[in-house]
Amino acid sequence: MPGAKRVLYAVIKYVILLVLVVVISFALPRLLPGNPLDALAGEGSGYSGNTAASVLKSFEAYYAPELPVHEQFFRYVKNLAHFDLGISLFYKTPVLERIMSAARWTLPLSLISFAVGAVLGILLGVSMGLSKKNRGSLLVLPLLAWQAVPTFLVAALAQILLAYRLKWFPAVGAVTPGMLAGQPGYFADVLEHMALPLIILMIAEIPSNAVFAYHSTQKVKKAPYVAFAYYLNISRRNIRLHYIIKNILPDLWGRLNIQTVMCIMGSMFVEAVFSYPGLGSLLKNAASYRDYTMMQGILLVTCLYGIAVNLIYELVLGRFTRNS
Amino acid sequence: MKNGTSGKRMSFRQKTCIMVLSIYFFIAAFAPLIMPYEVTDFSHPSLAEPCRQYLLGTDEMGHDIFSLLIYGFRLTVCMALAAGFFSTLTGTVLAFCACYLGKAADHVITMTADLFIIVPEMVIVMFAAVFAEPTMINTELAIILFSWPRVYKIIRGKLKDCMNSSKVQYTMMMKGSIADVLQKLMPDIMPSVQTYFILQTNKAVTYETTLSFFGIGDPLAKTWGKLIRAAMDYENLYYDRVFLWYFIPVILVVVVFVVSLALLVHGGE
Repeated sequence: MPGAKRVLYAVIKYVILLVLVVVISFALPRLLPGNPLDALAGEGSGYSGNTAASVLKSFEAYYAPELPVHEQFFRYVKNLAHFDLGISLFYKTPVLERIMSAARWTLPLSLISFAVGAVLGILLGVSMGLSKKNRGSLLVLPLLAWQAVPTFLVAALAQILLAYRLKWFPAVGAVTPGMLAGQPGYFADVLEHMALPLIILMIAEIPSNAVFAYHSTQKVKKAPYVAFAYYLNISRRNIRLHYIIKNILPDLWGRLNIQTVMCIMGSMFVEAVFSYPGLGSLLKNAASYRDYTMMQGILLVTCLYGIAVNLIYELVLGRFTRNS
Repeated sequence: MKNGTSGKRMSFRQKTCIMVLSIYFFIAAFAPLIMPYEVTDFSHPSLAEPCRQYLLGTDEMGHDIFSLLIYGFRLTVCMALAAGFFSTLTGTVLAFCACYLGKAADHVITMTADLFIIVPEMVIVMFAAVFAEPTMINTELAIILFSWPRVYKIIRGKLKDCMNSSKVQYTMMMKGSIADVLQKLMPDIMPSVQTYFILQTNKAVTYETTLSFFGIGDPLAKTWGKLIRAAMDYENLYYDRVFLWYFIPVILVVVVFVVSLALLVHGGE
C-alpha cells in the first residue's frame, strides 16, 4: 500500500475506534442495571437522601437525565468538544483538571518503567535465547511464574516489607508532606518517593518482554538464513547483530505497542497501593466513592491514550518495515 | 505455545500444577466442612493471635480469618472458573460466527475486539463494574463482557486457517450444515480453546482481586480480593506482626493459584 493511503487508512480506523469509545462511555452507564442515572431520573430516588444537594445538582447539570437520550448524547459530545468532562462528584473540581495534574505523576512513572523494563527484558530474553546449550530456557518458568503474579500484590508486599518494616523507602505519597516545589531537597525527595514504585514496575515489565524476546530469538535462530550465515563463516557478532537481532525487531515492536498501553494500567495499580498522587489513586477514589464523572473521564483519557499510542506505533511500524 | 491439558505425556511441571489445582478445587468444593466457623460469625474476640481455636487469628471485627480464607476458595475459584469458561465460550462462538458468516459480521466483530484490545481492558471492566449495581454477578459479567476479545483474536486466526483446509471446504461444498462444519473444525481448535480457558481463568482471578482492591464489587462477598482489601484497610496492619496471619496467607493463596494456572499451559517447548 502506498504511504499516504496507508496513513489515511490507519487514521480512519482510529477515528472510528475513537467514536466507539465515546459511544461506549456514553451508553454503558445508561445501559447497566442499577445505574445511577436511572435512579436519579426517577422521582424520589434513594440518592437524594444521602447525597449532598450540591453534588446532586452538578451531577444533574452534567448528565441532564431528564432530557431524551439523543439530546443527552449531543450534549455529551458538545461538552467533550469543549474539553468539559464535568465536575468530579468527589473532589468538586473539574475532572479534566484533576486528570491532567495526576497524569503528571503517572506518565513519568509508567514511561520510565516501561522503557527500562523493555530494554532490560529484551536484553535478558535475547541473551537467554542465544545462550550456549540453551541454558536460558531454565529461566523461562520462573519468569512466567513472576508474570502471573498481580502487580499490585507485589507492590503491597514490598510496601510492607521494604517501606514499613525495613524503612528503606518512604511508604506513601510522592513527596514528604509540607515539602513545596522549588524548596531545596525537593527534587531528591521526589526521587526518593518514586524509587520503590518505579523499581516494582520495572521488575514487573521484565518477564513478559524477556519471554517474548526469548521465543522470537529461538524462532529466528532456527531460520535457514541464520544457519547459512554460519556456513559462510560470518562472525558470530555480526550474525547476532545483523541476522538475529534485526529480525526479531518487528516482532518485538508489536509487543512493545501493547506494553506501552498496558504500562499505564500497571502504574495505576502500584500508585493506588502507594497512595501516589497519580491516576491510580484517582481511580481508586473514584471507584470507592462512586465518582461517576471521574470514572468516565479516566475511561476516556486512558482510551484516548491507547488509541494515540496504537496510531503512532502503526504509522512508525509501516516506515520500519518499508525501510528494512 | 503447546497446549497443556490434552498432551499425551504430561511433564513433571504440569503434574505438579494439576495436583495443586486439584487441592484448590477440593477445598472449594468442601469449604463448608473445612471452615470451623460461619463467615458471618463475628462473635469472636477481635484481633486474636493465631492459636488452636483460630488458626489464622481474627480480624478487627472478630471474624475468624481462616474461615474467611477457606470460604474465599469457594467464591473466588468458582467465579474465576465461570468467568474463564464464559469468556472463552463467547470468544470462540464469536470467532466462529465471524469466520462462518464472513464479510460484514467479521469486520464488525473484529473492530469491536480491536477496540477492547488497544485500550487498557481493566479500565473498561472497572468502569462497567462501578456503574452497575455492586453484585457478584455484575462484576462477573463485566469481566466476561470485556475479556473475550483476546480469545476471539487467537481463535479467529486459527479458524481462518482451518476454514481453508480441504476437509472444511469439502464439507461446505457438500452443503453441510453449521453442525457439520463445526464438527470438522472442533479437533483443530480444541487445544487452543482449552489453553485459553485456563489463561482466562487465570486472568479472572487477577481481575477479581484487583477490582476488590479498588473497592469494586459486592462488599459482602468475601472473596480473596475482599480479604486483601480488608487487610490493607486495617490501619495497624504494618506496625506489628498482624500482617503475618492477616495478609500473607491470602496473598500466598492467590499467588500459588495464578502461578499454577499459568505454568500449566505455558513454556516447556
